[in-house]
Amino acid sequence: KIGTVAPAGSAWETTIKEIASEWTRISGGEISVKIYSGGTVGDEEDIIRKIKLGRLNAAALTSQGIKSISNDLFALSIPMLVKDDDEFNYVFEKIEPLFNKKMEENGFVPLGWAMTGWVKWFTKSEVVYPDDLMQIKLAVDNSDDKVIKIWQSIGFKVIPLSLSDLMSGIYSGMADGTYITPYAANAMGIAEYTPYMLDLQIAPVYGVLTISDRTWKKVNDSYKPLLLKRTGEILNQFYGKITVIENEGLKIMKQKGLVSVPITPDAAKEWDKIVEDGVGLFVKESISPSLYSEIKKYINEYRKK
Amino acid sequence: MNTEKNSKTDSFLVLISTILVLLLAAVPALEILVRIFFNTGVKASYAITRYIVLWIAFTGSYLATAGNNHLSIEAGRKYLPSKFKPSVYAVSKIIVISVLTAFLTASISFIFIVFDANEKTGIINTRFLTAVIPVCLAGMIVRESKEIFNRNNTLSGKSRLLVLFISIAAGLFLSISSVTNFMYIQLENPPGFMDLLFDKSVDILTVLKLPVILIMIISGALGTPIFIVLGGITYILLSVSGGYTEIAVNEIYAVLTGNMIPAIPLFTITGFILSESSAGERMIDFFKKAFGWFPGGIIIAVVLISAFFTTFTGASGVTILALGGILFMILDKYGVDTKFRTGILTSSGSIGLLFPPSLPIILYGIIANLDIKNLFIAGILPGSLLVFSLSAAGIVYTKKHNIKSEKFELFEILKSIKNTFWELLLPLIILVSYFSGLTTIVETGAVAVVYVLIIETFVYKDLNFSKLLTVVKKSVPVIGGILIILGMSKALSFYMIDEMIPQRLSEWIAARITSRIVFLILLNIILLLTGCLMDIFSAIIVVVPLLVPLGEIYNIHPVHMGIIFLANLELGYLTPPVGLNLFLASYRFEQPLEDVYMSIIPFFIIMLIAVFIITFVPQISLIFLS
Ligand code: NA
Ligand code: NA
Repeated sequence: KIGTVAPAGSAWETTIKEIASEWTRISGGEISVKIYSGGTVGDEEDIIRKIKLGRLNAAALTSQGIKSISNDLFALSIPMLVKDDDEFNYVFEKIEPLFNKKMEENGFVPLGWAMTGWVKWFTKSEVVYPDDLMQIKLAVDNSDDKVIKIWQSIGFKVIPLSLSDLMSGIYSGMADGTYITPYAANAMGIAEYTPYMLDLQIAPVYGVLTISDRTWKKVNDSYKPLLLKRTGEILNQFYGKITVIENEGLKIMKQKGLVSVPITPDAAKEWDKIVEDGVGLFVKESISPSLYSEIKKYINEYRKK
Repeated sequence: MNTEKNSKTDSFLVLISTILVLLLAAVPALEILVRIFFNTGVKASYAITRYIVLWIAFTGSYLATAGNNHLSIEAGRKYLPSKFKPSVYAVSKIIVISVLTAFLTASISFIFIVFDANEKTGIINTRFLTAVIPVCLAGMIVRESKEIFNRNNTLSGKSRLLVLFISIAAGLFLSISSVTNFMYIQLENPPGFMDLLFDKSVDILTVLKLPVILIMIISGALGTPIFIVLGGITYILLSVSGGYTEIAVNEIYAVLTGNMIPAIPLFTITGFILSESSAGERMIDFFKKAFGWFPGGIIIAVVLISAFFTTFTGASGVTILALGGILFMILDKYGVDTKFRTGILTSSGSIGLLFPPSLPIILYGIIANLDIKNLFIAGILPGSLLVFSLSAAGIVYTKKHNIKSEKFELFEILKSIKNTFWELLLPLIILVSYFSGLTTIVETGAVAVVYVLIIETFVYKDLNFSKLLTVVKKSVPVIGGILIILGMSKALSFYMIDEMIPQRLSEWIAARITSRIVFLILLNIILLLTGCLMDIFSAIIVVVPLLVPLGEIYNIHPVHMGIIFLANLELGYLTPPVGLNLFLASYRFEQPLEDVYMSIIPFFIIMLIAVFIITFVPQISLIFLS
């Protein structure tokens, strides 16, 4: 039994289905998979509880959700820490063994990781410079106190809202913008109310397919190498697939009036400065210092190249 | 001596609940202030609020047990021949205590498996915060057990001990699943016999499943609390379909810590403060003069107010809890009989979902990937049809019962406004703060509590601390009773989702049904049952993804499908025997559940006709869409 918040028919869900049918094929029908999509078995926090209890066996989680397994697993999704795909790939490859260990310590066996996209600012008025963004009210996820505090320390006006309040918050004018992946923005229809998208990659969202160690122990060892190999292969293709869909979504949103605001060179400089000040705060508040210095080391290593 | 000790515990818990209620209002209120003046938020306010609700729910549930306040069907017992009474009583006790015991062990296992020993929420240990669940369940078991030995009950000396013994034994038997799971997580090498014990217990339960569930349902009809019947049935179904019964506790925990849930206790408390003060007397004067000059005027006003309030509280049943008390009183003074009052208030507590900016519509739009604006436009006529049907019932009633209209006198209206000015300001404050985007729905509830506390204490001098204790003593068991039913029905929903029952049903329909008309009728029935069994947000998340492809097969406009869905759910909340609004009404109007069932019948029929019209005449929904 696999739980996910990804809606039925979404890129994530179809990929999980593909993996599931591979598992059944490889195990000669010994492993049968039921997929519970669209949050029908709860939000990510709830899905993780259900796996700990044993009623669910596996989950496809996002970097947002794995925080409730361990905060450190969120590390690379810290806003403006890594800047682009290449940087992310370089650092992730180095840090993956550490992430895997963190998962296993908590009873979760990671079967494979996948990059899923970048979150961007969607706002009601045009935003180019950090100062523009500081003038308006930004909706942020209220379930993580640390992230809220950091945005505030940097100088942003944030409105902590639950995901269920996010749409009505934007709709009612409580908030003037939020950060979200273009893929999700298209799915939620949020761009109609926040028609400006700043072309700045704030943070990567990645996902993991994981199974509880109790369930993994029950899987016949002879299938395991092939299971892991095929899962990895399918997940590796995922980012390419979702990028295509996301770009189609962007096209549709642009037809409906979405404006993609390009970032000017001097605006980019100002954002870099914000990053320098902000990331330190994030780190102090939310992840272990040793992990951070390790990540920082790899980032510097990459940037020097 | 025992009773004295009991009442001391109860008073202490009422005091604790009062503090929790004040905190629950204070934290979001502070959040608003901090946001306005400092552009920040209160540290961990979200986490704090969710645990305060958990505490209020379980202390409330304990107090409901202590005061015999849990919702149940009482009529059956009345007609029972007296020779059956002792055995019915004994069976009911065994069910109550064994189900509570099963949930107690499951909750302990849940806490140990899910939360780490050092896990903290803010600065407080999470296991400590959630310990309120097993502690209150244990308290409830003790109270129920003591009650067996109460001098007044029908059992004789020896059979009392036997009943207690069977209850605990059955409870421990049901606990085998949680204990096994707990041992597997906690121990390096769990004893081998646990597996065997677990398998045997599942075998036995599989055989006994049907008779036991049947006995539970009959016992429910004869007075066993609804939450026990729902919980017991769910627990057994979960036991025989894979175990890990802690999941039932997880569902209760998930509901009670949900984002919108704090609005329920907050608006309930607001309503109780108003109805316990003299606000009702002040307001009835205004209502008579402002709306009493045309036939059915006051009833129409009541229907409109309820519908409007439901629009932005999103049909979680808050309307009845918040406004029910005071509107019930107002209709009484106007000369409306109890049955009609109960019926119209219960039914108007669930309409209003179809108007902007109702959250269920927004959520439907997101899940079904539809333009939310189109859904709002489409909802206006169908929503108005439902409001109009109930208003018409009000006019007919006033004519039939010859309730005289008052004269329209502007000066008198202004005079009555002056008397109850600050209370009339409350809806305005709620509307402005919510619709201007100043506050979320939960924060709006907190504003309402704080505002009402201030005006009733300082302006009208109707409220002091001891009166506040009375309000809490009355309202917290109601809140606890409702929230625990909500939790149990969420657990039952989980079982159905886990077994993929909705999917199987939709596959069956797609394969068997060819006629569009048959499909629509079947859809009405299924959605009625859904509204009856699931809260609106679970229903949207679970049912909508299945409904959208079905709509395509039978060529139903997706926007029309959304309106059909929500209109049917509104009716589902009124469908006996387990529609949520019926439970709320029984609590709030202090009417036996069976009387509520009777009172709802004419309104149910009126709304059923309206829902059929909405279903079969798509133009009503689609006329304004381009
Ligand atoms: Na809201
Ligand atoms: Na309602």
